[in-house]
Amino acid sequence: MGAERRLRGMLMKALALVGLHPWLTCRQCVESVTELLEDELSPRARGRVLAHLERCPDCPRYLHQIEVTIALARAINPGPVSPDARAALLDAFRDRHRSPDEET
Amino acid sequence: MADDEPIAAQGDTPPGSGDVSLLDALRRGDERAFESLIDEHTPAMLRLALLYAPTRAIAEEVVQETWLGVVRGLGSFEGRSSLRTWIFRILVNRAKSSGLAERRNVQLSTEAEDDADGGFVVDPARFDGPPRGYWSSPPNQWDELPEDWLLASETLAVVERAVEALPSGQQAVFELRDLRHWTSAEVCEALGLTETNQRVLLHRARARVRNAIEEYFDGR
Ligand SMILES: [Zn+2]
Repeated sequence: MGAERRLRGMLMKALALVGLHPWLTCRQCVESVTELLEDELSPRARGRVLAHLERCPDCPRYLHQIEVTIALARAINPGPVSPDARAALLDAFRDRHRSPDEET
Repeated sequence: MADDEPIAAQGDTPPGSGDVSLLDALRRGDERAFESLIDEHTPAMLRLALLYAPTRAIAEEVVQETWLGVVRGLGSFEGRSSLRTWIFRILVNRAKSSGLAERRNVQLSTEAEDDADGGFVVDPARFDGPPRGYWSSPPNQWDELPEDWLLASETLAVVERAVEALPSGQQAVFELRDLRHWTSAEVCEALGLTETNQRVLLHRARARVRNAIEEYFDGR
């Protein structure tokens, strides 16, 4: 973490100690990450979240972990479709194309 | 419907828009096209059916019936919506006509509000600062572990269990949005959710899965 960033983080927390949260608390930031990723924040709200992320030593990690979480979940292989169900569907599909009259 | 998918678009288009050639193949009776369609959508359909069905067996039945409905309806499908949106709409209709829908619908729409954790995705005790509201117990650094740790089958099993343990609405939204790359509009349409509700469910789901991964690496 750069020295400048650390200083800005200290300033943010010093302001918070006297009751000022111009760039959100960590708790608010964590609750805003999905709206940020979904691009659903107003420009002003977005600015506050980004400003917090530029100063906070920890929230950027949380945001990054949400992204890694999604990537890991994508690495899960869904179980295969049950062979019986699959075979039955293929039969139906085949039948349908043998007798092409519509019944819907 | 005003918001038709631009189904004429071809090539490197988002999922759901390469429908024209696929539809042609299906109508010609191309079995391999049908098989790949089944393999692509069945897991997500099952998750969605589980929202409405009380047991896995009934959910599987609903999925099976949906596919049969798709087979029958392919000839008359007009391409006003994307193929997958159409398939999932059939699924939801089937599930609803199974007579269980009302109870489940209530559960799905309120689920976003009355979560047991009081509406916070990370334990409030971790934000005791100082100052209050700021991390006292920040996220541990599991994301810096080497990739082969993260992608180890044991880790993926943790992730999978966490996804399986999500409440049904969160699970369906997470599956469709994050694993199947659906747009939020498509998910809202398929599940009958408002944009806000959809986002809240997604927010909760992602956070819960992250929490589970953190907990797993904390215990190591
Ligand atoms: Zn923070």
